[in-house]
Amino acid sequence: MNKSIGDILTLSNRFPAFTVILCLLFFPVNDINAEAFDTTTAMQWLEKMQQAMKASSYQGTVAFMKNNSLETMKYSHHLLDGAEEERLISLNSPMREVTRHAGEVSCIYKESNEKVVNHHPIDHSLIFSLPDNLANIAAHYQFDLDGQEAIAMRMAQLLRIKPHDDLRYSRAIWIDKQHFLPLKIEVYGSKGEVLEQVVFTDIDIDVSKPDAPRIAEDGNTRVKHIHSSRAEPLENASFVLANWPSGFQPVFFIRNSIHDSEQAIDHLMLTDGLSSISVYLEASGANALKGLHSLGAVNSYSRIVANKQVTVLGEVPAKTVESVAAGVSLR
Amino acid sequence: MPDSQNEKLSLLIDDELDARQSLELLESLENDENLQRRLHRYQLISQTIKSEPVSVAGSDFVQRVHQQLQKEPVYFLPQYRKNADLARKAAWALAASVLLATVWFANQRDLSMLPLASVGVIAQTGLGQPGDAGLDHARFKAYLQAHDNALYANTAPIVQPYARVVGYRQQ
Repeated sequence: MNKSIGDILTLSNRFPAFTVILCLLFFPVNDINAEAFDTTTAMQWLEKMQQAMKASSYQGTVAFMKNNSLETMKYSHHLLDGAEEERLISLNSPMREVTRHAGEVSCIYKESNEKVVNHHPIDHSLIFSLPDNLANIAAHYQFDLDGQEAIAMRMAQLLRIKPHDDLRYSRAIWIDKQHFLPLKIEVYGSKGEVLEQVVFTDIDIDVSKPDAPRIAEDGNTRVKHIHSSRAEPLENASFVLANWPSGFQPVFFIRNSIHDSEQAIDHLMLTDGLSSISVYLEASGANALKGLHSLGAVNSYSRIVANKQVTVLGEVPAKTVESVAAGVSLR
Repeated sequence: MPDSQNEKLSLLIDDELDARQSLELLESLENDENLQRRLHRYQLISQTIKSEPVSVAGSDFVQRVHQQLQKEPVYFLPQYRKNADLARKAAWALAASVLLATVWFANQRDLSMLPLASVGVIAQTGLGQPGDAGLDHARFKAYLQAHDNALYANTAPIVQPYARVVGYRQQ
């Protein structure tokens, strides 16, 4: 054996071309082949994931983590008579079940025996979804493939979504290699810390019928129905924004009461397709929120502008809500 | 499944279950597939929380441990005092857990007395605490709920996962 290696080394010294041939034979060929044949781009992975999430039948246990706390939920997605049915059931108190069927979302709250039905059609997943047109967010985020890892004992492609600036969060998605379903999602803060995590701890794919437990309703269940709020023209807002991150666009404005009081509050929402920001304006009171507040990935910043309280809240970094709030002025 | 068994599974994963209870639990695991799956899931969750690299034991893990234990020699030695201490600590921990659970459950009952709110509100739990911090938190939550409701009820192409709304609890 030693003699053979010695012979090879001798040949390599005498004939450099032999060394090159050896390298081509043994070292990089596999990697090159893998790259050459695995040409699916990050965007294509996401498109396939979107299709798979709508068309597949699957169920499992989802762990949802934020603020160092853990919530486990049973999740199922099925096609019933051609319509999607998606269900999330909390495994621990307070017991609650959220169902999306044919676009309608309802939530049953077991302990208080209450049910809320949202009649506004919602066509997006309860656990993770992306805009239908991914090109809209491509201008402000970079999509990169970053190796493969096992999640819930399945091989997954890791895909990173990084913003071009530090005014929004990075995300990572682990997509099942075989079925293109999202197995894990993470949202990262500015220092790379994990702010939120959604992960399947077990998942069954191509199941014919959901067998997750259900929260039973009885005749005494109180039901509340929610219909869409009527949005007003953006020009009706009593404030203007001087600056907001590029890519964000105003999408919704309403004047409504949101606290226990009847006081009307201006509410403007902006989004870049992946993150969203709300701007609130109301009369300043004794209990007004002041300064910066945070809850997981959500930050808010409040300040007083000419006896009015401005609050900017969104799932964006603190500096973003501060910046937007600083640019609010009354018309 | 009794809560005590779930607790024992958790203790077993954390290596805090004494030898006798470990053996009993492993015997139960041997014949109970549901329990085996639960152990599997608890391991994954535990590793995920601790941000450890996930290494999942195979489905025959329990059988192999059991077989290994069968091969182990048995020594009849005097009981260590440490076990008594451990039992006493466990009793105190259990008592504290019951107390915490009682206080927490009382708070939940208060919540259930509230009038109906939106899907976002009903999915979230916890209320503002008395004092300025509680008021601030209540107002923060009111803004957050309005944000979430607007997100789901009025804007089609928004992407926030509903799980986030469902998952929010009081900080």
